[in-house]
Amino acid sequence: MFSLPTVLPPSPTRRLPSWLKRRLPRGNGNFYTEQLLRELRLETVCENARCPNRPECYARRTATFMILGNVCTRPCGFCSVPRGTPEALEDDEPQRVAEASARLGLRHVVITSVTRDDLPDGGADHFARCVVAVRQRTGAVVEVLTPDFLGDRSAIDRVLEAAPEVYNHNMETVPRLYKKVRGRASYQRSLDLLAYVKERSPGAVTKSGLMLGLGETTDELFDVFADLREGGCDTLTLGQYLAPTLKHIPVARYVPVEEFDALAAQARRLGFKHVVAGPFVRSSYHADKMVPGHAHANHPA
Amino acid sequence: MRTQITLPELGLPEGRTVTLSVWYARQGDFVFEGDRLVEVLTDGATFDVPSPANGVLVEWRAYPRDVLQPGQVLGVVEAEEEGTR
Repeated sequence: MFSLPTVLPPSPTRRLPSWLKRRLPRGNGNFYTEQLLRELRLETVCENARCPNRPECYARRTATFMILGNVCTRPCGFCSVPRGTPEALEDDEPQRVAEASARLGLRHVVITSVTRDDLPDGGADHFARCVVAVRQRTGAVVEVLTPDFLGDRSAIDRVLEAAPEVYNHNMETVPRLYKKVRGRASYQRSLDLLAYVKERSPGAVTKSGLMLGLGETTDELFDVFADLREGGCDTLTLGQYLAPTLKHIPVARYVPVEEFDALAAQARRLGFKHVVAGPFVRSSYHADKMVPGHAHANHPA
Repeated sequence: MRTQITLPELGLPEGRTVTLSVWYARQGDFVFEGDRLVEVLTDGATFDVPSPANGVLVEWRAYPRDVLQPGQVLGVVEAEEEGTR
């Protein structure tokens, strides 16, 4: 077995590797999506996490809704969502998410959230209400990307009551780097969450994602893949970690496309039904195409 | 005819920094429409801005490390007249 070689991050006046090049966005879908989200006072993880795919996804008139506010209760070193004391929940948010989904014509809706350790149920009830509202309004497939709810199974159960077709919870990185990357999270707790979801809702697609380039080794990644498969995880996403600002954890390494391909092949050998890997892959990037059969793919308007 | 090379709208939220990282062509080079002329860097991704015309790249108006705004003129191509090549 081998470890990944160390490559120093680029200097501040840097150029990124050629595989991080994007096409210039075309059309006005970008503007339409942005205006709609503003009008309905909705947050997206695309915006808050400074996602590099945002122009492309907005141009396709799709977005990943971020509910429960835009202030997080956890200080993760990779994430650009502000940390602090969140505001009260907005009771009409589920209807606004449903409205936006309908107007964007989405057939696959991804809903994620900040972590709300301040709420007794971690925001699980609000999650469930959003899932139900979107489904009732649009009939779309709904994918949730939840926090770990501190391992509270009653909170997970509440989300599962709404029967999301896809349940995603990102492992983010290898256990050795948890303290640095996901300060208050627990590797085992996250694994247990995914296994519990599969046990309670065997028909739901379970999904997880990892950021590469934080200093992990290939062996460590393979171990995480195996742990996820042990809990029955169906779908895996692998993408390049990109530091949102210079204050965040620096990129340890830019992983070439060929390595993403090799890792994806290994993950498939371990039994994942669907694996998407590449520098710009994010857990909800083209999420509609990650559901087996692509039956509910979003199409640009 | 002089044709300006402008930074297109990249669809980024307000306040995001776009920096010029490198020119692929030097002043005085002949360039073709669609050639990648200049690379700009933003959050975790880069974009190539193409030449708007066939002609000579006569002027750089922005330089590596410059912070750019959408619509900003990055350079000028002296476009080739019809039938001159």
